[in-house]
Amino acid sequence: MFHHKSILFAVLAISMACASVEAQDLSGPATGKVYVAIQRNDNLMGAILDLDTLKVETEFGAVSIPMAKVDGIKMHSDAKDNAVIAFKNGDLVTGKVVLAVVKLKTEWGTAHINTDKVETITNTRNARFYSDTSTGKAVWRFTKSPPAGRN
Amino acid sequence: MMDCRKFKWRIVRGLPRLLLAIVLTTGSVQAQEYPFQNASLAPGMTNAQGEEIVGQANGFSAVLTLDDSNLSTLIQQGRVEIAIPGQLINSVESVVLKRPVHFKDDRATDFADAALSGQKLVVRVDRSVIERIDYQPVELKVYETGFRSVILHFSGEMSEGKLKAIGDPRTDSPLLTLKLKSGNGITGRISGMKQLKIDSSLGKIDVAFDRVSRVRVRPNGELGIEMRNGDLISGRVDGDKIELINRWSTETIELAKVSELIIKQPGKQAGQYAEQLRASAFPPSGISAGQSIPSRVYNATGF
Repeated sequence: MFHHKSILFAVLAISMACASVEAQDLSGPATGKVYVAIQRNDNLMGAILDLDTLKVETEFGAVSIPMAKVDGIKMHSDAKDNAVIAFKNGDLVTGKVVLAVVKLKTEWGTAHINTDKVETITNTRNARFYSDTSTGKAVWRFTKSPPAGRN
Repeated sequence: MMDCRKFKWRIVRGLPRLLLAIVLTTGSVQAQEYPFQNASLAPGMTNAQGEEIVGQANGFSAVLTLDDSNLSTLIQQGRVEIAIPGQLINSVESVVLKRPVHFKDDRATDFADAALSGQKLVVRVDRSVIERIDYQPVELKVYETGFRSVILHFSGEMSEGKLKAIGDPRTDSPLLTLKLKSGNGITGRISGMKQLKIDSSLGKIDVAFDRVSRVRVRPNGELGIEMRNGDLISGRVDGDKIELINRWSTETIELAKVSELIIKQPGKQAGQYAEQLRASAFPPSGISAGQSIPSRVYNATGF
């Protein structure tokens, strides 16, 4: 009898936990919808939580960049594991992102993604970072245009 | 007595022969021919006073554009020689010295400290002339005639063969050239700006000049800085103007009038810097090294 009660309680607890995930409100985040590309071609869409400013160690010093000014982030852009941050005004800045986990509110719940697994975070689906070698040296550039051939 | 009108036209018809190439030699460089610019000399044209322009044999300048290399030659070796073609032996009235990039188009005019030595005219240039040509062309008037070549003789105080230091590299920016929207330019150091201080999307930052690849200036005076690692940073300098110390003076320049800052990186040779300037699409000055231009035109009543 006691054994059956335990099982019933466990099932009830799991059900309540699932319900709490589904009941999360998606309308709250101030940073808007982002597209996160994760290693092994996984892609997530959602809203970043608890990240108003991004701390980055640049060659100009440690800076806090308002996420509202950011259009995209490319993690692991070079051998030193720097990231490239693309600003809405067209600026591109290299530095080390001081962030362990990205909390992403998705349609199915909140994902906690280790930043070392993140490839890019962009504000629009078609936005992408690409390597530009036109000056003879490979540098990262950012565009919101879809790659040629894609509609 | 010859009719006045016929006299004028005879001179005009003779102009093409006078507008021949001048041959200039600079140091050991082989003589080259350069065409004259004669657009302002044409029959039937009138000057600002409404007088007919007919031109005459004299009124030409021997123009010498001194790039970094030529300037060093003049200072270190003390002389540069300009050969005058036979057709113009009695036509050169002045020697114009200029740098490929200068701030003002207006020429500073002075009387040449000149003396004939046989068929050579020795024109002495001192330190002030050398310093001034970074700012504007200097025209040295000569009144001697009959010379077949002009020898620029440097008689300055730069006995060590070095140009006067511009600003203080310990406190000012490295040497850079401001390319102006007008097409002119000026070379010097930004006063008190060892690093480029800008207000950027990252906040107020100091940008090390040796990390900068290129600086463009947007129409509103905002700087678009391309770093050597590919970073792109926008920012404004306090007051949207800079104080540039050049060899002749200190100029306060509004950045809205500037199109690009070209930084002379330490270790780069003068030739590489010149190449950098050319690569930045500096518009041609219209007069290349050793080329001559008519310095003025005369009206019929002027002689």
